[in-house]
Order: sequence, then structure tokens, then C-alpha cells
Amino acid sequence: MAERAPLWAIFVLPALLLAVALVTAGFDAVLAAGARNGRLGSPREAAARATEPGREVLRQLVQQPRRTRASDVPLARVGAALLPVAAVLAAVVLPLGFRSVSDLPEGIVWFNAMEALAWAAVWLAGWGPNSTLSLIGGYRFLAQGLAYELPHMLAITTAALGAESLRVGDVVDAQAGVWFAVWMPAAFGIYLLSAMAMAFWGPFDQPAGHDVAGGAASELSGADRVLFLGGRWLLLVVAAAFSVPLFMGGGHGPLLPGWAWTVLKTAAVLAFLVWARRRVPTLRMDRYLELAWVVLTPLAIAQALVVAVVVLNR
Amino acid sequence: MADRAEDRDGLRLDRLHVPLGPALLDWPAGLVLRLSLQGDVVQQADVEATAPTSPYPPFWNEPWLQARVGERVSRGDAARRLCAAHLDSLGRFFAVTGWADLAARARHVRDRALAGASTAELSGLVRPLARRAARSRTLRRLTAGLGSLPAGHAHHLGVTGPALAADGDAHSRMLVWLDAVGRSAAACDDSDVLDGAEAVGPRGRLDGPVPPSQAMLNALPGLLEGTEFACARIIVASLDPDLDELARLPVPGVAHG
Repeated sequence: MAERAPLWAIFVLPALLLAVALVTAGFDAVLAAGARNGRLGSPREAAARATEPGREVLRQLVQQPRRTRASDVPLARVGAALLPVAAVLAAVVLPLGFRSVSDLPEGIVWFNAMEALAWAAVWLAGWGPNSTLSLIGGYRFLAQGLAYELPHMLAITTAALGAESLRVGDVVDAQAGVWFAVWMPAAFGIYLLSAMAMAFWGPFDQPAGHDVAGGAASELSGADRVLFLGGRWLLLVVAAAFSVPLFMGGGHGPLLPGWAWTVLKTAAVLAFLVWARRRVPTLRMDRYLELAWVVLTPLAIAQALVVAVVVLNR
Repeated sequence: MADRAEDRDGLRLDRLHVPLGPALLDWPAGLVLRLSLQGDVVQQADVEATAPTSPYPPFWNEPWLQARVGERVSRGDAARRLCAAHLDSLGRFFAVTGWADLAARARHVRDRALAGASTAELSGLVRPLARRAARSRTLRRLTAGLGSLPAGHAHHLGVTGPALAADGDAHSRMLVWLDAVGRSAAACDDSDVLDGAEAVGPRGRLDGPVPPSQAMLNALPGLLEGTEFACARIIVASLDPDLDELARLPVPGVAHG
């Protein structure tokens, strides 16, 4: 079972998440510049580009915020601020190695509940500014939620089923031998898809889509924008990092200490997600809903059934 | 901003009146679409095109227009312009479908084409791009069936060029562009003189009764009605009308007044 981390970990956690999110965003910026210029460029150029997200944050913070007419400012503010809060709260049950800030007995439910806050956050941020494009972004996310959430919940339930516990520490312990990803590949795949959908990122970025000028985020500016888009990166990092204790053996691994394995595996998942994003266009939710309900949901149920039978015969 | 009207299923729903354009990301510059939306389904679309007044001929049609008035233009130059024009359209199309990576690549190749890159370099850049776009099953799934414009109907509307040749939906129009980009990239070094009689620009015949983009604009409302918002954007990008073509050019030799 996972140990409890010391009290100061509560303060370290957001900073750590932020650092990982900045590195990931930097990596993404380097790849984006590579596509723009036809080549990745020298290490020095790449390093300069990697600092772009950080500079963008500073630029937004000093910029004069703009406001739309008849906007509901508190609503949009709450929406923007809720996103990073949800991400950090979800990360509370995330073990680094074998220690998490709080290894709740029902950690998996907690994680799922916190990420569901993103539904409210994006909807409020889209509704608040009284603007069509952001409103479209907002309800696109609700449609997206309908598409990804059910297979997603089934996938994380499958991991809990395999460990016979909702405690994240127990799920990690159950993978001391074989990773869950090996004998629950469908659940793992579905989890990775929904990890991107949860952060409305990758092929699921329609709520903040380019075609609606940034959608839910289109009217946010200044600190609100930083909170919202930063929160989205945090959510992506947390969702990717959670796949490690759920399916990839958490801190288990030879030679290296547990925390190093967690970091390495998280980095691998994040790199994969960032790379995969560049390979596919944005999925339109009206088409993805079909796939989610007709293919992914039955697949997730079948996977849960297989795991349940294995666990009963153990 | 909102009122209520019957929707397709006979329910009375809120209706939003939303203008799209004239300035929107990856949108044909100057085009305004006045949409009536219910949810995000387009119930009605009215096209308003603001023709710019410009002393210059439309950039993308330049070589063919020059050849028509008897100037010496090489086929290679025309091919280069055609290649860049379609890459420009493709960049917008990929961006609207949410494929930022491929859009950035298409724009990079476009800039190389306009900067005078050699045939070999261009073909080398175009090939992987075209392969990725043509083979993407996700892209096919997302764009197939949108804005279907059969050749017969297109001909009736006066649409020429890639949209007529495609004889189908947004995806088939993209394939026609990709094909034309590949062929024109290979022909950039042709030094033969362009025949002034065959005035076919990137968007269609330049000697018809109306500019090719005007024909596309006429086709737009019919294609957009009943589509979802995201689909509407893709349909517009798959036609990519160029409003420069509607510019009122000062006719040389004629006094204004």
C-alpha cells in the first residue's frame, strides 16, 4: 500500500505539475515550429522555441484584458479558475513512486469526480462571455463528455476491478508482476483516448477548436486565459500521469527508484500523446459519438467482463 | 440576437443569427455568411461578398490573365502559381479540420513554391504531404459526404475547376487539389510559353460569364443548409472561393465617371 507523503508535498504538487506541463508545452512548441519551418532546427533554436509557452504566459499576464459586451464575468472567471483547480485536486491521489499526497480508499472515484469538474469549467467559460463561438465551444465539450465519459469510466473501473480495490495504491501493488496494460489492452487504449478527450486536447480539441477561433477559450484574456489554457495542460499531464498507476505498473521497475519510474513512464505517455496529436485531424464529435457508443463502450464492457472472470477464478 | 423558429423536426427552437466573417481564422478574406443557427445546425445561410477594389489583378490568377492579354508567361510559372494556390487552399482546409500540423507543412511548401524552389525540392516536399493527407482514414471519415456537389449540378451552377472535376464531396475536392499540386510541382521548370487561349486559373475558367469564385459563392447556401457548424466551416474551406476574383478592376483606357 502506498505511503503517505509528508505535508510539504501539498505545496510541491502544484509546482511539480506546472513544471511538467511547461516542459510538455515546450516540447509541443518545438514540434509545431518544426512543421512550420520544414525542419526542427538546431538545438539552440529548439531551446528558444521551447520557452515559447512560458513567454506566452508572461505576455498574457501583462496584456490589457478585453471583455465582451453583457458578459457574465463571474461565470467565465469561475469556469477558467476551476480547470487548474480540478487538475490539481485530481492529482492528489496520484502516487509518485509509491507515495501520494493522499491515498484515499476511493481514490479512483475521487479522480473521476475531479476530472468531471472540467465539464462545468469548460461550459461556464464558454457560456460566460456571451459570445457565439465560445458558446459553441462550451456545448461541444458537453457533447464530447457524452462521447468519452462512459467508456472512460468503464476503463478505469476495469483497473479497479483487476486490483479489487478503488485505492490507487492497491492498484499499483496489484501490478508488481504484470502491468495491467498487458492484460487489459482495450481498457488501456480507451483510457489514453479519453485522457486526451478529458483535456480537450489532441484529436479531441474541438471545444477549443481552431474553426471556432479557440471556442470556449476564444473570449478569455489575461489571467483568465492563462488559468484556462494552463489548466488544460495540467489536466492533460494529470490524465496522462494517472495512466501510469492505473495501467503501467506505477513505480514498479528494476534498478531505478519508484519515483524515477513514475516520471519516466509519465514522460513516455505524454510524449506519445503530444506526438499522436500531430498525426490526426480533430475528430468531429457527431462522428466520434457513433464510435464511442457502438464500438468503444461495448469493447470496454467486454474487457471488464474478461477481467471480472479472471479475478473470480483467482 | 435570438428568436424562435421551427427546426427540421418540427420543434420550435431558439434561433441564433450569427455572421461569419469577414475576418475569421482560415476564412476566405472578405466573405460574410449570415447564418441562422439552431443549436449548431445551420438552418439558413446568406452569402454577402465584399468585392475589394484593387488596382491589381487577383494574385492567384495573375499568370493566366497576363497570358490572355498577350504577355509572355512560361508554363512553369503558371504551374508554380497553381501549385502554391492549391497548397494555400489545402493549408486552410487542414487548419479548419483541426490538423494544425499538416496545415503548417502545406503552408511551408507553399512559401517554398512562391520563393522559387526547384522542381526536385518541391516534388520532394509535396509527396509526403500528399501521401499523408490522401491516406488518412480519419480525415476521410471526417470530410466524406460533406458539401456534396455532383458534376451535373456544379455545371448547372457554372462552377468550373477543381470543384467540378471532383464531382463529389469535400474530401474528393481535397484529393483533386492534392493531385493537381503533385502534377504542377513537377512542371515548375517548363519554359514553354503559356497559351493565352486556355485561361483556367486555380479555381476555374477565367473566361466564363462570372468569375469562378462567384459561381462557388452561388453554390454555397445550398450546400450549407442543414449542416452542422463544424461541417459548414469544412465545406467553405473545401471550396475556398477567392474574393479577389470579384474585384472591380479599373478598366484600362476607359474614363471613370
